[in-house]
Amino acid sequence: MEELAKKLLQQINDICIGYHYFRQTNTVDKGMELTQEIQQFSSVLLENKICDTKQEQADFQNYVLQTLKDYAEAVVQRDAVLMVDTLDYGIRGLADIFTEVDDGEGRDG
Amino acid sequence: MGKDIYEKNLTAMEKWYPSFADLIRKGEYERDCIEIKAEYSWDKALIFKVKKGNRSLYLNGKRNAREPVEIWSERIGKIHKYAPVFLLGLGSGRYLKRLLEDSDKTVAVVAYEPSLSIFLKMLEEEDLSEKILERPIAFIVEGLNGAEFKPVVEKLVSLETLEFLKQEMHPNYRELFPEQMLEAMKKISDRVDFVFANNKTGILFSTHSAKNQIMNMKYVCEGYNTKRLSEALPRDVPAILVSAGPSLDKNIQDIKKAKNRAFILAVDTAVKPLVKSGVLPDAFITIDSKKPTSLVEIDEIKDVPIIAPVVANYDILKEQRGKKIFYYDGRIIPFMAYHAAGKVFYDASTGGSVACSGFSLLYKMGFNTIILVGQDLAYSGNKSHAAGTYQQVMPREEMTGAIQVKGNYEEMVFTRQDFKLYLDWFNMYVKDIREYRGVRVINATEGGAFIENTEVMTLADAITETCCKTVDFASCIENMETEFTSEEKELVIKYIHTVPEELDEIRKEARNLQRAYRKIMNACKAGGIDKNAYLKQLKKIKKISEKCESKPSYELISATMELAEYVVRSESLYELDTMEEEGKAAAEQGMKYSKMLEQCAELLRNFARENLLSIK
Repeated sequence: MEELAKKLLQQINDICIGYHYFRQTNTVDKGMELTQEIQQFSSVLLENKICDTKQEQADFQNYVLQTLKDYAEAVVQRDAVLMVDTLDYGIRGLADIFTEVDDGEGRDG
Repeated sequence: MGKDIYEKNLTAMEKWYPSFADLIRKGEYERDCIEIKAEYSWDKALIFKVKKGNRSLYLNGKRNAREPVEIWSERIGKIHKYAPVFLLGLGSGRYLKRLLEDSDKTVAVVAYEPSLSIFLKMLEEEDLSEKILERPIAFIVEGLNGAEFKPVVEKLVSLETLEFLKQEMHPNYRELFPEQMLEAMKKISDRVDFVFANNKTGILFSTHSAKNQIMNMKYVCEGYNTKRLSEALPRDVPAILVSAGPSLDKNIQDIKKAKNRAFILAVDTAVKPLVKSGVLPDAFITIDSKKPTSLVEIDEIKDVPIIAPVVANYDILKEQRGKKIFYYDGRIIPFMAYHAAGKVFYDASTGGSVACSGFSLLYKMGFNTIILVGQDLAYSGNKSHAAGTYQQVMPREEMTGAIQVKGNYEEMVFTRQDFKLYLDWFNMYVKDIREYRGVRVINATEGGAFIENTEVMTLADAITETCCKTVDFASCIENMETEFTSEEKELVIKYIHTVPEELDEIRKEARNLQRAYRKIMNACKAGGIDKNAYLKQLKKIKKISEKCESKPSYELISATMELAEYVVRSESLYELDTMEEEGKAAAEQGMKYSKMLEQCAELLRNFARENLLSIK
């Protein structure tokens, strides 16, 4: 899982740097290339107990579902703003759970 | 609440363009079919979600709307105070607001919005009234005054502003309004091409740096420099640096008492008021390549020595009959010319202003007491400069947004951002020279901002206390020695004569660059790129580029290529996705760039041949 999270973070970094700094216009397509990894990653999040209490687990699952919903909307609408927002501030947060805090995987790589 | 904000924004607009505000108030327009949903992001910022046809897109981040704007601002970087900036798409107004916060009020901001509905919604939701009141923003909105876009572009994009031009597109506007965005970009790009095509030589010299360097080299050969000047002057007297701050009016008459008792160095802007008050400085300093000649157009100053770096305005130097004394400012060609004669060309520290350079020079020339006059670094009576500098009577300036700093005589004084940077430089420099050599710095500026580690006193007192000896500075300078013997001067000239040849070599290499890019282009057009061949060409390009950049004369070109580079960079807005397309686009850019490099090298070679080979 840590391996997958790290891979996702690396890919998210590349997409976000390209979008913000190099004004790349293929953000949605690049984001769509992560579909398989995101599905695999979120399945693990939804199927396993991550939080201590039932309520926390339910809130967490809702959060994951909301993130997936936004990702799907970004794909369907071809919305680069929503795609970057979901990857950078949604999926990144989930992936961070499985990587060490000081692993240097911030946006700036 | 929406109506309140809307009313505030419209009232603010009335200050600059009442007819535009009136047009909106009267509602004589037809709305487009765009639906806008205003909501708040998870980080509590106003965001818009826009529905057009069957697509519904966010204009700001749903989770984090603030950080992307920060990153955007960081990417854009510093905006030149005379830059024209085109913001294509306004959205919720967040990017516009940030742009206005980040830029000087002198920056010409064009805010273009292809959707009237989005524009009206922005006026209802985002309070921009303070920013609108501060300066005129050119709002251009399709459905209201869209036809004004082209004339505005033509007015703002000129030879003088081209190098500072910026154009930015709001996120997701390319998706929502592709035709309008391309049309707007094309209008800007067409204008840039027009200015470029009609002013090739003008563009080459619009920064003036290369032209001045070439033209001033004949004076550099004479061998007068600030080190020789310092050797010619006694050091047991103080030096007075006369700057052109507004308080100069208060004690300019006292400077007379220091004539022949202190070395009086004036900055170029202070020359006219100083001469008119009856004092000829012992020398004056100018650094800016575009400094208006009118500042020193006064006959009495023509025989006074001028101190300058090689990029200083040739039109000022050529009018001077007095000695032209140079210092090294990082330009390679004069440095190499000295080097050819086995000599070192000494430098001065630069802190951005002519006064900073003058101050650093006085320190490096060995003066142990330096008196500052007219060094306000702040406004006085809402004025930025002394009377008789840029204008006979300086206008009062708007103080909105000015910064407050500690004053010499007042508790706090207003200053502006560039003055504050110079103040920081003085604070740092004075501290260092005091610690390092015990230099005494007296600030006899009768007003203005306080510079740390200086003694504040009146000029009259400073002169009485420190000017105890009489010196004929004019004779000292008249008798100063040149750096070069006749044999050394020959070596300097011999080096200078190689510059046109070197520029010609760069021109030839630029052609080789074009060939390498063309090969990449052909490979991409054919499809199925051979990666090894592609990399080989890239390696070749790198090698040629490095070869060009290693030549000292390349600096003359790079100083003038910034403008040309814009033409290349601006095309990058039209991006492509496949590797072949990207390679093709990169090759096209490279070809354009290398063609400009070739043109630039050729024009400079001709100019250098004409003006350097005649130096004997």
